Amino acid sequence: MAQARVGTSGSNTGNSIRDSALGLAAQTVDAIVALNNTVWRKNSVRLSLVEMLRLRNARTVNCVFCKSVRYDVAKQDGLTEEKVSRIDDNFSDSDLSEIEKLTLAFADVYLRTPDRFDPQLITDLRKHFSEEQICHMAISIATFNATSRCAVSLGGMPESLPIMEMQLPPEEVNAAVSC
Amino acid sequence: MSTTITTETLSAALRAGGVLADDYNAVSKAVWSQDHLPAALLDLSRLRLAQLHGADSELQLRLENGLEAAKIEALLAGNISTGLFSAAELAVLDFTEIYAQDPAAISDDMADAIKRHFGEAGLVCLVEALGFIDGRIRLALMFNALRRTH
Repeated sequence: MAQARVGTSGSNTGNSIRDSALGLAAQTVDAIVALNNTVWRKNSVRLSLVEMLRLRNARTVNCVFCKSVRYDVAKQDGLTEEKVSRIDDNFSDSDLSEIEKLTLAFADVYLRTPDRFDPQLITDLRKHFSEEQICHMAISIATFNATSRCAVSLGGMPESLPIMEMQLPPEEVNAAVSC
Repeated sequence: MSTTITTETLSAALRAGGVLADDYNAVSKAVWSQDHLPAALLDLSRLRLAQLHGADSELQLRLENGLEAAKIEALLAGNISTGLFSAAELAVLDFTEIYAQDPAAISDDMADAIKRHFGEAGLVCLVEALGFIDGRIRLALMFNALRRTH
């Protein structure tokens, strides 16, 4: 494992964002914790689809931490490892549902070609998602991408990690890991 | 909305996102207003990221944060070795360049250069700021396309 480029906040709050290197930035950490909490708890999009956005980002950015995590709320919503295995560059030819493929295609526009958003894809997205849901997917993928890039940029990434199921922390501590 | 969406006007485009949009905008506000990195310095990164995305409207956007016009002109002309830029600014621009291409390619030397000028918390603030500024540029591009297809 490469050495991390910064330390951690030294806190032990049980909040994985506050207790990470992001805790060193005291003026931004509260807002990031709140955003991650909201993305998982107030999202109008099914959490299995939110998790697919997160994992598509994780694989694109190659964040080992992010790739290893599975949120229990997404599994409870029907996301299986078989489906997770389809979240690769051939997803459009897979047996994923149309709505799952649209979700991943949306992620790829953000991640790869935000300046080239195919009008047909937009039309298809609007058949399945409301304006609110499209906004929520956009904010979700933007949040996952920013935080996973933070993790990669700050170093200390292991070569690999086993799959880890993660629960959302209790809402009162206002915490959820995003990347 | 009749004008092209930029990072500054993205909040209006995200209005349907309700509390998620509110919290997303709050992070953006926080990364611009923290004490470790001046806003004028982050604005150099914003402009470089906009260049790399080909985000023309974003490149036209001028924020009131003290960034000198001569530096903007030099950056947009691809001429940063003019002596106009401080060592700290050059370190941030160097970091931004690699961050945009592949954050895994950021070297320890590049990270150390940021820490020398701004400390560990400054490095954390920089990667946070780059992530959320880059994100707003990407979303502005996407929401311009969404609006065109209404």
